[in-house]
Parts: sequence; C-alpha cells; structure tokens
Amino acid sequence: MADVDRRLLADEDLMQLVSRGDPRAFELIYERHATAAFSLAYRMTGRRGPAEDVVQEAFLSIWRAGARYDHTRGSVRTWVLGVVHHRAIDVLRRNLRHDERRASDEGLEDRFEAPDRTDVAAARRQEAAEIRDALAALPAEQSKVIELAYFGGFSHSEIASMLHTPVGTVKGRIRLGLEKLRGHLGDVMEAPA
Amino acid sequence: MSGCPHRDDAGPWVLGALDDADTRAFAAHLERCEGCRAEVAALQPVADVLPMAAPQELPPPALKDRIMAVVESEAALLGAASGAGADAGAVGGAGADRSPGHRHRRGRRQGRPAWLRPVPVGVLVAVVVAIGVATVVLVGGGEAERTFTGFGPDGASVALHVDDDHGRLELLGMPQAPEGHVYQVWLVTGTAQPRATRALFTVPADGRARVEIPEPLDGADQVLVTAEPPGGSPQPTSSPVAGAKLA
Repeated sequence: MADVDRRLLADEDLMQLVSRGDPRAFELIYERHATAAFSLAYRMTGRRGPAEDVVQEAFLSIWRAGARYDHTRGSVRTWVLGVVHHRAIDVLRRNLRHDERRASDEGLEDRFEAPDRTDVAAARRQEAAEIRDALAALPAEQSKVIELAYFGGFSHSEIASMLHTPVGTVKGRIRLGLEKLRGHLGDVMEAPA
Repeated sequence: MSGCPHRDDAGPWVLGALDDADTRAFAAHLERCEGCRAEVAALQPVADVLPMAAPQELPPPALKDRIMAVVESEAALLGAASGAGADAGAVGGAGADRSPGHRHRRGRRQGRPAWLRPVPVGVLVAVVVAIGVATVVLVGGGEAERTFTGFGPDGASVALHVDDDHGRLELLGMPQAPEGHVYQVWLVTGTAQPRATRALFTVPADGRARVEIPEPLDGADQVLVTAEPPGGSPQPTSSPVAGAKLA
C-alpha cells in the first residue's frame, strides 16, 4: 500500500494496520500525536531527557500493544496520551524527586516552540488555550489539586500531605473542579463512546 | 448525581491519582455502584482533554529515528517469521538495537497467530477497504448498471451505482459536513494518488443525498468521500467518511 493511501485513513483505521505489524501506519500515528505526547511528558517531567524516555517507552508500548486499542473507549489520541500519562507517572514515582518535577516555562534554552503551521495545529492551540483558561477560572484550591494530581503525578494522599489538607478534602476538590471544567469545556470534550 | 460516600473518589480515579489501595477498593466498588460509574463516565472526558492544556513542545527528530529503528527492526523480524514478505522491513539494521526494549520483543511477536501477522500489500489494501461496513455486494441494477454497497458513518447507508463509466452515489442517514466544509468525492485507482472530482455536495437535514460524479470512473477501484473546505481541494485534507469499492 502506498503511503498516500495510509494518510487518508483515520487513526482508528491505522490502528488496525498497526495491530497487524505495519510500521508505516505506526509512523503516521507517531507523526500525528508525537507533539501532544511529548508536550504532556515534558509538562509532567520538566526535563527533555526524561520526557523523551517517556515518549519512547509509550510509543513502543503502543506499537507492541496495538491490538489492544479499543475504539469504543475513546479516540486514538486519548489512548495514546493515556499511555504517555501512565508512563510519566511511573517515571516520576521511580526516578525523580518531587521538587524536580515541575516544568517551567522560563529558562529552558533548548526549548522548541511548536510552530503554528497548519489548521490542525492552530485548532489544537485554540483548544489548549480554552482548556488552560478553564483551569485558570477554577477556584485556586481546585485548580491546584488537579494540576498536582494530573500533571504532577502526585497521589491524593501525597497532595493532602503537601498541602496540609485532609485527604477527603483533596478528593472533593478534585471532583468539584472536574465537574466545573466539564461545564466549561463542553465543546472541547469528546462525546463518550 | 450520587449520594454514595465514595463519590469523591471518582475525581482522583479518572486522574490516576488514587493510591494503590484506594484504586483497588474503588475498582471493586465501581462494579456494584451505578451512581459512581455514572460519575466516572461524566468526569472521564474532562480528564481526557487535560493533556491538551500542556504547552506545545516539539519532540526532537532523533526521537522519531530511535523509535522507528526499533519498530522497523521488529517489523522485519515479524515479516521474516511469518514469511509473508510484508512491506515491513527495509530499514531494521544498524540502529535497531539502540532501544533496550528490542530484546524483549522477538519471542512475543513470533508467537502471534497467523491472522495477526503482516500480510502482502495487496491484502492490506483489501483490509483497509473492508474497514467499516464496506462489504461489496452486487445488490441490484439492470444489465448496464451495477450497484455496490459501501461504508459510511454509523447509521448511514451508502450505495454506488455504476453505469458504464459513470458513477452515482446515493447516501441515506448521512450527517451534514462539519461547519465550513462540504463533501468532496475522490476516485482512487490502486495505489495512485486520489483523483479529485468536481462532485462537491452538502447534505440536507433529512440526511439524503444523490451525487452524480461528473468525471468518468476510468478504471477507479474505489470511490471515497471526504469533508473539504468550500470549493473543494486538489488533494484530500481529511480521512474518508464514506465510500465504496468497485469489485
């Protein structure tokens, strides 16, 4: 099959080829989602080296487990980013001290800003801005626990200890914050399968 | 939504932030608590979009090289093991051992059942065409006209009528094109670049559309439909949403 034919395919169709061991289909999956994957890994680990390790482990896992992708449980993008998130948490809990975790937006000489080359990239930037705005609009105590839990990879009990807050309060703040985000992000979210 | 005392666990659960013990306990609880399952279902889409909030960073090109070296190598091994001669393996080679994951791979892949192994290129084409409900069936028509059922979005039915070298698509239950887009028909012959047609169309509220393809089919073996900007595109800019194979 010519590469041009594969480029016509949706992610879900490419994953069927990946499950049969097709490297060209996998390469397209990588090209479509590598930036989002690396961005998430870098946001979580705060350093390019560990972020690269996370992305490499995640994509090789995806290559080897392609047959396990289940389209009824969400898009390929969601699945890929879920794998990256889990790998990053593993790395954080295994290798990095908590005070090294936070990615900084300043002082990173080797940082590459993703260029806004395509309509798809522009749409994703807009989507990212909407999500960041929605996070910023939350009460500070809710956005903080969500950031620590999702991007920091901290468990709810670690967050409770860090913030000197009861465990139940942390859980409740996370849930309330997510519910408010759901209200703000209706257009951005995927419909449940 | 739920008065269950475990309701607050749903938030940390979808973020992967429950401790191990709590994760196991809540997983067991979910099996018997409908309210908490609904809470998780409501919150999961929010968790799914959170990664998009990360500032966008380009991965270094070398990262792709490293990953693809492993992938190509494993695909080549897989192709050799299956004897299928897939288009899997020209790269492999020198760079393939750069990842420690490589050595764990060989045995598992070779153990795959035959239907999961790489298949020849021609078969792959057929596999792709078969995605969805693209069973090609001669369903009607007179002596000169042939009709093929095709594939489309859930709930849609697609028929391609071919009369000599002329094609016509009939679509039922078709959703409207995304805002600011129209549908465009493409002709595909083998592995050649898809040929754009002047068949641009929108779908009315009743989901019915009848689309005459002005260009001759001229040996095309697939007809595909994509959503494109108004006026159409010289090359497809999105994945096919509907189509049919001539066989």
